[in-house]
Amino acid sequence: MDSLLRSLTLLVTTPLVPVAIIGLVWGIIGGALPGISASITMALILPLTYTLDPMSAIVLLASTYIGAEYGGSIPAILIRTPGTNSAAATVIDGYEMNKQGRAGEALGISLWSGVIGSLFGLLMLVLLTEPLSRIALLFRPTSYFAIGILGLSIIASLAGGSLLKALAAAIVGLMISTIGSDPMSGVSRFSFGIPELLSGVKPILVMVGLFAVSELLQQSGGAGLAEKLQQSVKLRLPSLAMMRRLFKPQMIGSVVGTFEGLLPGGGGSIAAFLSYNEARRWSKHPDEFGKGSPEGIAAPEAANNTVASAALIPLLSFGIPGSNSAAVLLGGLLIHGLMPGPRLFEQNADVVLGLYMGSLVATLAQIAVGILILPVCIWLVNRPRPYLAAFVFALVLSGIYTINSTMFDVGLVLFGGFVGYLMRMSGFPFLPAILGVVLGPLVESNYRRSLELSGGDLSIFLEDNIAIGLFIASVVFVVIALGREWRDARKAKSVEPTA
Amino acid sequence: MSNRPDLAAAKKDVAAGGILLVLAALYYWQTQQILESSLSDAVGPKGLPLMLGAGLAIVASLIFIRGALAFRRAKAAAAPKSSPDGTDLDVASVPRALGFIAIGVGYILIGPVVGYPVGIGLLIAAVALYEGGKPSLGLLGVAAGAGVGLWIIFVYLLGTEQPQSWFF
Repeated sequence: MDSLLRSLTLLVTTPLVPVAIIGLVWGIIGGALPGISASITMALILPLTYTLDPMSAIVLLASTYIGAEYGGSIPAILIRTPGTNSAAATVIDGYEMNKQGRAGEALGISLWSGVIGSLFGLLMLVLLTEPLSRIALLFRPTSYFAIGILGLSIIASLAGGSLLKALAAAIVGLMISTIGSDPMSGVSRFSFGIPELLSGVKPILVMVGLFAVSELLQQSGGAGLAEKLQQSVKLRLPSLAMMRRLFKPQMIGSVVGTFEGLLPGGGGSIAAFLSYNEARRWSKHPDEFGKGSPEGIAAPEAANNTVASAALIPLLSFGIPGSNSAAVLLGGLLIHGLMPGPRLFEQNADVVLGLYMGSLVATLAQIAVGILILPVCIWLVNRPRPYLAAFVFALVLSGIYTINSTMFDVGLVLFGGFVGYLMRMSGFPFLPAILGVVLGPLVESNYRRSLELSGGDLSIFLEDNIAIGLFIASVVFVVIALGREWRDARKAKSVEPTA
Repeated sequence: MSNRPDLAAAKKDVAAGGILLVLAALYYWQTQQILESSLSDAVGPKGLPLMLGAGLAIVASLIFIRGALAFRRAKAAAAPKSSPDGTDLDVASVPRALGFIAIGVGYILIGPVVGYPVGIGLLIAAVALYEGGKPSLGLLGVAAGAGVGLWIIFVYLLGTEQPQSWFF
């Protein structure tokens, strides 16, 4: 009862509602622009959160995430080009429905399923996060060091592609985190006499450089969209009978989305494809899948929207972001000095409650905003690509300048963007690098604190059962990933024709 | 897609491994330059950086060796230039990316001289032209309008700071 009253008070005494709607609008627009993923949409608005209070900042980012997941389905349905990776599964039946003249219906199903998925994910977030975070109360510096290592190991093993490259990316991220004043002694490290580097490289600069600038560089010189979006499409919400039919695939998507959201590295696209397959398996009309099945849109859209909330569970409980978008949200928390874990629920209960309420507002407002903003999205997606690229670049550079009011940061982001471009070119994943920058201070300070307590004796890590468990889990993840890579290499070799 | 070793990807791995090895060496060398403080703990400010430098050197060597072996196999198999790492980016596209970055550097240099609305407008015009937009009055209008629009949003509505000149 007390929580309900506090929630209602927050709704009327804080700018939570307008902030959630602004985030939602921005998210839908960003998600609808092909090539601008949910994480890029969030990274673009991240610098602006510096000017907001912590609760508004987090609500803005979370509602952007929710909006982007729906926005990605708009071009997926209308021009067979997913706006975000997680909307790729929606293309299959969404575009088929469009070809049958049912684009408005497909968009309505996508929106409605997104709302159901978001509500389910939010429920899981509220129910699971705080109990899970209590586990962290048992943590000692050794356990915190071990969980940092586990987070890096999981992300490196699940990042996809080469484990070695993911590990290299994680180490480089950790190296970046060592730039600036040493947290224990205050000694300057790797700052090369540059005053701007004394306070270190902020994770936000790395995120914006790697996600947003490298994407612009990758798209540079590319052709625009081959197809224009039809301006006349009107979104139509499903009828009651259709809502009943969609309920089962939506629940399948929501359950799959919850599991994928909880697993670091899972992400919306895997959840969307998994739930698409499961929905087809459990459907009374499996033959309709691939030919314009409403269920084929409902399951993946519910799944990727559930992931948007469920991915926040490991983030808020232990500070381990499971996806690029969750990493950007973690950046938002850190900007405002908020450390995930049990203390977040004790010391910043209002921020957490605000996050829940803001996400609820964004989810419910999605129906009205989704309908109203569709023509704007279509107009924006149809703009010439050179102008869109120019505008996004201007937004990135302007946003970054607002953080410290220095062009040095702008230069760092450009440099980071070019490094990100080279990383894309060579198949190095971003998330381990970003996690390295974010978790670096946690890993280093707890490692040193542990050894300070033991007088330099490394066996202290073996005296903490939680740390031992987490180390074993780290090794298991790395070994599994190595095994997978070795198996793939053998498979490739076995089918290799003899020259 | 062919499962034969990819020559282009192997070359990229060799190059990436080499660059990371150089980075590890430079980082290790810079770690040696860190001053010890009397306030230092048991590990000290050099502790983690030394481990990271060594760790990167090991991982980079493995990437380099694996790339070199794949390169040898690919050459023997005369493999086609596919891209199994999922990227279509080619080394030939690097100058184009550098050109884009150069526009950003141009903004860093002229932004504080001409002020935010003019600087950001020029940036928008330059990027639009670089990305294939045709020089026209329309483009000029969009750049000028976006410059003023962003100035109003960032400086007046959001109250944030942007590069200032004598005029703006």
